[in-house]
Amino acid sequence: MKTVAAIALYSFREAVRNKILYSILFFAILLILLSVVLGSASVHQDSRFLLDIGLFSINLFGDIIAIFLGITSVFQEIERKTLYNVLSKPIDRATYFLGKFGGIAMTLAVQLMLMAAALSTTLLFRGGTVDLQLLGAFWLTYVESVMIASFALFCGSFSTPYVSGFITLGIWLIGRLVQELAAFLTKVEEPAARHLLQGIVALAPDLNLFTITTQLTYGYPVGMAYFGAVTLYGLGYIVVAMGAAIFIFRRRDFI
Amino acid sequence: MGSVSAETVVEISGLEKTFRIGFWRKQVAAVRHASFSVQRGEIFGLIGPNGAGKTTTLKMLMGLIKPDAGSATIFGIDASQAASRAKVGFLPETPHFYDYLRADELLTYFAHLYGMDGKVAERRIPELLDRVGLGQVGDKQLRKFSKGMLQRVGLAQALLPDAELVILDEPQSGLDPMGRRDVRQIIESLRDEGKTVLFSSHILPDVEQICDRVAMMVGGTVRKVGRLDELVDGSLRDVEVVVRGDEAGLAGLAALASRTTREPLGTTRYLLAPEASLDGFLQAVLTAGGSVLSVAPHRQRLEDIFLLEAARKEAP
Ligand SMILES: Nc1ncnc2c1ncn2[C@@H]1O[C@H](COP(=O)(O)OP(=O)(O)OP(=O)(O)O)[C@@H](O)[C@H]1O
Ligand SMILES: [Mg+2]
Repeated sequence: MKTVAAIALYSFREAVRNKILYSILFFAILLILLSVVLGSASVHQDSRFLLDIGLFSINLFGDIIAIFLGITSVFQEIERKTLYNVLSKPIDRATYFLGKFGGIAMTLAVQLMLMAAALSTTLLFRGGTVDLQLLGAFWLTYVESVMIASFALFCGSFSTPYVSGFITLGIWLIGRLVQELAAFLTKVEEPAARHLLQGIVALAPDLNLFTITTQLTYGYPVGMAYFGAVTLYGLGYIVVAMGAAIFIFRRRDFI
Repeated sequence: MGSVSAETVVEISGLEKTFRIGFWRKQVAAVRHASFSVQRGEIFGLIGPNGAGKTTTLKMLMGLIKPDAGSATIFGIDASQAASRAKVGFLPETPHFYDYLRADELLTYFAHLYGMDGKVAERRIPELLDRVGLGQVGDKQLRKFSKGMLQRVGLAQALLPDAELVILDEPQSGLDPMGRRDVRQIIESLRDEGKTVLFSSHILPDVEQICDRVAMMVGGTVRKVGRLDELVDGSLRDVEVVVRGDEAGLAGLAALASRTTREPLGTTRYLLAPEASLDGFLQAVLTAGGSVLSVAPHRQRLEDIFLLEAARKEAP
């Protein structure tokens, strides 16, 4: 456990040195600030609009960062051969992999906190409020991004960054459009194809569950039970993805 | 040489690995049925031409590559278990490190991975950096290190856990003459501390000087294993005689030598077979009006065995 923490901490240190992350973060915060300018055009809906755009950007950029970190962090160590020096220590490969995951979770936490702080500050300046509901929305966004990162790590355990980037993006799209796809698929004539596609959609996580922007903007309260249930839902996917990733990673050759 | 007890530290038996590379999964047999063992307290050298399978064998021993067949154990524990590496330091071939860290930061990280006590690591790290000649690097990041300096960092991290077994893949590659001597001395001092060392190398005179036993790999198989004095008997290979004299006068001598080379400055170099009579040859030189400049016996060395084995296609 201490070893997992050490590996996580050093991968976090490595990740925060990454210039690409800063540029993604820069765009996210730029978008939040830009929404203020756009929002002032539609006078009375100011803070509602800001909340909408703000949460959307945090979600989107959080997921982009998650995919980026998930597909590069382990691959980079294989590519740069720094992995030999780590795996030749008396640690299990599972320990290493969990450490890498921990590092990503830490990096995402810091990134999301920065974006959340930017949005909260802007909201307060524009006369909005920052309450537990909003913090809950940030939390679910975080859980989603960690889950997306675990999918990227899983794909990265057996393929190259480009391929795993595409697969993860595919999962992300399906997850966003789960409800639309499910409705659409009932219209597929061929039963075999329909069952297969419905199976895929049923397996994908419903990412809409992690987004409570509508409830927030229209002032419907979201209960603690909901936050807890969705967190567990995400955790379930993370456990399965990481389990599968470690299973594959332990069998790999590092030549 | 210290007394060698019969405790097996490394056991490699029937190890095989075939890589499948490229789109067509072309098969490359890197290691075929390799077996040897290393006893406690031994300095064991792994030699062989480029591509012989030394690195692949060591990587299987470190659990980085899964063997197709056979087994590799350290202290009786299979290489697939992390526990087998608990008391092992390892230097990979041309090591790569996180280049944004300083040498001491990197070693601190690795100390965590070995589960070392923080206080012990704090005391040991500066000592080690000194020992590998990096005491003066200060707070330079590893990205600013030269190749040889990185190799020294690699050595330091292999010595970090104060391990019972130290495995080094070409520890002297990229080092200057002082560095090469330092590595020799480090290995010798490990022997004095009762440690076991397994290392691969292309520098045969050093292998000859410091190893107790040697395994020679060619084409993925272990061709020879044994004590140096068993492999290299030190027998007389030939005698080299350098003679000065005019070409016409010395013409008859070529028949007595196994090889004759005319040299630019009016000297001639003769190689005599070990069974040829040196007295008779020297007599003939004087009779022919030549003068003997030097006589040098060539004894069999590890290099001779190496070149012979490497040239042989398959083991008999
Ligand atoms: N990454 C790799 N992919 C495919 N084949 C490889 C790879 N690494 C090594 N091989 C092959 O495995 C064989 C053994 O290589 P290995 O690196 O073990 O040799 P070596 O004895 O360490 O050589 P050297 O003295 O050059 O370090 C070679 O035929 C090589 O072509
Ligand atoms: Mg090699």
